[in-house]
Amino acid sequence: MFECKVVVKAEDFVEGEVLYLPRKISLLEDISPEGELKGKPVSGKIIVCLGEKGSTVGAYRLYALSRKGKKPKAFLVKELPVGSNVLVVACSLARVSLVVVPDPSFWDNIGAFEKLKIDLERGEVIPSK
Amino acid sequence: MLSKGDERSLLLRLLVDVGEAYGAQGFVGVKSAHLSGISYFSVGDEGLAFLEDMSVLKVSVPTTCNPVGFVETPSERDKQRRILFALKKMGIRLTLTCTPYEAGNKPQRGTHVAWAESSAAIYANSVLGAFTNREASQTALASAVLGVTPAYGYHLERYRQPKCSVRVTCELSESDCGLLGFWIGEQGLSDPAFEGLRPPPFGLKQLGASLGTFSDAGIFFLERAKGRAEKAVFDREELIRLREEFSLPQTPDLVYLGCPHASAEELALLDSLLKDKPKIPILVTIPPDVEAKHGELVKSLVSKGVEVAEGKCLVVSNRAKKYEAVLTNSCKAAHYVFRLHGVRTGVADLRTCVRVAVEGHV
Repeated sequence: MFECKVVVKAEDFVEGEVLYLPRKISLLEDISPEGELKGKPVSGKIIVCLGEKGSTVGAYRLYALSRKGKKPKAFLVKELPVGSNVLVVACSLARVSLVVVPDPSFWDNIGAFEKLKIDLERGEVIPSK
Repeated sequence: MLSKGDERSLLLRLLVDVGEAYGAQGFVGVKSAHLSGISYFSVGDEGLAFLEDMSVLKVSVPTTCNPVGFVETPSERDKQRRILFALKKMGIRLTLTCTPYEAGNKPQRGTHVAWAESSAAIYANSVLGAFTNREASQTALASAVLGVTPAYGYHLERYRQPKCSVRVTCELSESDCGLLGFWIGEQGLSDPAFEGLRPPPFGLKQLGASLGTFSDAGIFFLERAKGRAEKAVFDREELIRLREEFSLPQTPDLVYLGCPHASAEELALLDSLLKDKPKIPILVTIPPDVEAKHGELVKSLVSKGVEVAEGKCLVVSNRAKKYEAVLTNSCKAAHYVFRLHGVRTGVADLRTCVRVAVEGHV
């Protein structure tokens, strides 16, 4: 179990398959208009990445997916930038949960986590295979 | 479609969510706002609907906006027109440029603003001395309407500090400054202080644009960092590696300049370098304001065969897909044209771009 900081709480509890991007995400470039990340659909997944970067337009990409019923269940990131809010805005608009897990041991073992349960009430992330 | 009256609440909710996420202690008033996300290519039907919903509101501070894409079809043209109509209805100035600071929206040092368009926000913080976060398109709109932004991040002096110190030991062209910005992102660094960087003309625009594209940085410093910031060196060996990585192995069928939008000074330099008509088409994108004030310069370039497009951006245009290979002096443009349109791209400085265009080969 890992502690998380809840940034956007769209639901009390989320469970889903992990879609891992081993770097910071640029919503505009990394998620296609059709809703794919690395060729896999983001719909219903928990997207795990290191943080955000890139275009300030990216929030529209997630917003559009939410309107089409293709949004991911949650984003889990290692950190948020000091003064860039694209991912927070995207999740807030699209009603997708967003949590931050700074614990290095989570990231050391991320390759072994196929599914995650996120308890947003308690601020906990529970991995499962 | 939102119910009437919900629009203002939604924008306020967004600012509150962001403020809570970043632990803001309150709001700070902003003197201006600048919007990204106004091209139909970027925002799609859902973004168009969002902006039309919001168009019942009026902005309360001077607000400018980004360029639009080249439109290719009647449907695109109609939807782009509707976006611009919605913005105009809100009272937003259709400056159509990613360099608002060169189009009448130049903040005074120390003033708080809410700017989307990462290259402009970084330039505002680092070169102009204004205070802004890298706003998402929607929070820039929220601040434009409500006149405030949550007080966090680069609005607070304690966050306007270098996170790393980079010693630059080689001379850089303007496009090399873009490579330096790429390198910062590649190394996982942010908010750099550069020691030894002697920026060439237009280099800082390219540096800010690359930092916005490849990293989460919101500010850079042109002085040595004090304290224990992480240290790194950018030397000639790294520069040559990156020049190679961003080189174009084939003859381009377009030379693209003006990302971020070219200023009058950049146009004058292009005009002075261009002695003969180019064999490879040159496209340069500029703010409409520059066209209005420097029409003779634009005419001169057009007479030499250059396509000068005001208020446009190739990156957010399906037109980019028509090309097989694009050479540009902008790492940002090279990256997005490749990533969003699948077109081969390469980066070279302005002089080399002009030489290639005139000679017809790399």
